[in-house]
Amino acid sequence: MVERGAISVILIFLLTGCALLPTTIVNEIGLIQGVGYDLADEGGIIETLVYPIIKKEQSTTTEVKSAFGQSSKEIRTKINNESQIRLVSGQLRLALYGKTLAEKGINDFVDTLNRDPSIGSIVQMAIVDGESKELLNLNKYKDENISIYIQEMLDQNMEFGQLPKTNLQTFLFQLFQIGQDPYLPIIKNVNGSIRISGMAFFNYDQYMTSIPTEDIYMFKTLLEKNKSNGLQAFMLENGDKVVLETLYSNPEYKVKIVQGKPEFTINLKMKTKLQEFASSKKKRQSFNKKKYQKEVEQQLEEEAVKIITQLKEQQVDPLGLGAKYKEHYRSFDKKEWETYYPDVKVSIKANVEIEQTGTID
Amino acid sequence: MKVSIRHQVSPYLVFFIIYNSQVGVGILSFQRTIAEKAGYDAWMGVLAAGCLVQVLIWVMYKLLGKANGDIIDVHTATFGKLLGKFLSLFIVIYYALASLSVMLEFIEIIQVWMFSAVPSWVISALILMLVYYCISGGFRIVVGLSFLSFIFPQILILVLYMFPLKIAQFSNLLPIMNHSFMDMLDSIKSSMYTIAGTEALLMFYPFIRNPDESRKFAHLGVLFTTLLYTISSIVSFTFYSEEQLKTTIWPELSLTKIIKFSYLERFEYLYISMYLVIVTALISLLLWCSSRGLKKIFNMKQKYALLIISLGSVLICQLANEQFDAMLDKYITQMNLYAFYVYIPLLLLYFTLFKRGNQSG
Repeated sequence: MVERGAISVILIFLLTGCALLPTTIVNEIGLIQGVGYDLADEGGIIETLVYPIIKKEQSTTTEVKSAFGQSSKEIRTKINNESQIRLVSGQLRLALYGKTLAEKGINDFVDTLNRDPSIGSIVQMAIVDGESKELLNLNKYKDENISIYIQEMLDQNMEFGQLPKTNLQTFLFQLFQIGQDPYLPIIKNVNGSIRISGMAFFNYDQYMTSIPTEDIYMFKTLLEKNKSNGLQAFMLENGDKVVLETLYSNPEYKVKIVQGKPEFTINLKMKTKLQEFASSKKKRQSFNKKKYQKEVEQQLEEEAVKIITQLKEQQVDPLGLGAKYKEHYRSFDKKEWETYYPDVKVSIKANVEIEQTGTID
Repeated sequence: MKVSIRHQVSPYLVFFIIYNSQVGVGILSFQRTIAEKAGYDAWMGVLAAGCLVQVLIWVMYKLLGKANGDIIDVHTATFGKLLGKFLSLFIVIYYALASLSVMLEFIEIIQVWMFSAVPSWVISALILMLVYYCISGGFRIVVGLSFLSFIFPQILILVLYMFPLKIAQFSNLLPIMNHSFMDMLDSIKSSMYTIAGTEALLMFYPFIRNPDESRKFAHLGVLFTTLLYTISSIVSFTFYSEEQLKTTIWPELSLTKIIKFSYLERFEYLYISMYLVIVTALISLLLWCSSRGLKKIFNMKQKYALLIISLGSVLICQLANEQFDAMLDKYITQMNLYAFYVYIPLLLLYFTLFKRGNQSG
């Protein structure tokens, strides 16, 4: 009996110990869902936080607040000073970086996301063409949660559209991978609406160059195996217009070492479905598969060469050619590879098959 | 002193005991340590280490089968009472220190990932109360807990590995065998400690009904854990880039960051909480071994031996700092290597010769 009494006393003691943990009731904390970083003119950074305020029997409102400071968590403290509820970062879904900041390097502001155990790796990241503070404060999205809106927009386009998959995990993977550089989508405020406007390429953590929206399709096709890749229009030389939907595409990289230097061949296989066809002759024509396949192949090859040339000129390697070279070449040397990269030979062979033409031919 | 059949366990349960003794918190972090020198070839080191453990199992069965008792009986039969007991004490201390190291590592995980403000003694006291309760039920209860620690995690591990495998980059593992022999040896050495634990057999051998029949289950248990560790390292190697893995302290826990269900955002809470079952089972087994050893050496009640070790553990957990952790880890790794892979085979050799001499004389 005495023993049992002693144990209960110990238990009571322990349970009060557990009360030391801070409470997390949803309407007593501010769940930061979006964060934006911009370079300030005076040298430091401006951080913008987006968090919903959940009230009993009232609709939820979203708060967007910015402050100036030197580091991410320092600004968090500053904003906490003017918030009636405690701010926590466990629900972060979106991290935006202003373009001018990205040009200087974003590693310092990715580090804190990576370090915090409460932040997941599927946080969406994007570069803002302009200021992220201005974007997060857009009037049009006042009534909804803007960070969730942008995250879902990006998610949706990565799942079914033309954007290649990116998030915190892929960014970190590529940042640390030898022979590959990270890439992130660019979003922009176009007349008060948010829109995906391109793809940003990095050298380590510094923004170097970008491609416009029209080329993202080609980049994604070169990057990885795809099942759905959105629609792509091809304007052919004779004025015919063909719109294809990708059913399956697979870029196969072959590495050959010629005179000590690597050479790449990309065999691009695509299976597509015809979605729209307009002949320049303004007359209904039955679709000539063979002829158009060939023309589309040619156009794809040209486009791919254009993108790869741009990447080589800017010395960024988002396609991971270096990593692919490393897989095949045992005495890979990073420095040596970097000298090869600007004029490495890459040839592309596209093989497009238009499998279906819809219900008419 | 023969163990009565009432306290013995069926041979097939040895599978679960061996599994329990090998899988601890080490599986959450070993991926980084083994890849330190051997890079992404290190998964082969795990397989090699598994083979060594199989050999150790064979040696232990041989040795204990000859003596038909536990390691303390072997020692007294070989070296006489005083020296034998002294050597046994060394092994018993190893078990206690091993349990301490598991506890310290688990406390660190809880503090970093879940509750950073909870003092160490609260966590260690909670775990040790559960452990004390288990061990006072006898060896059969400890085995029951081992069985649970096998059943529970397997389901979660399936979920945990499914998500990263979806985006795995298997090409990370290429080119295979690109490291020197010495680097590979290093990876074997660091995997040795992670998959160590089978030493517990030295104490619980007399508690197995039909030990000869249990031998194949012990080998099967080691095979299972070896495969589990190999798969776990491959999952991490294909998920992280090599430099990224080097920055990640708990690669397997960080995997949980990409898992998101619509009803559960923070999978790691579930995962770490489940680890409480594994850790409790492992510590129960280790402390059972060491308290039983103390009981046999000093002829004291097992209850008091256990109380002394437990209270000591709580105290050390509270006082331990980083240097102590590092030192403990270093010494245990050394002890494990020399005591079980050098000393025990030598003991078998000596014991065989000694026995034969006795019989002929």
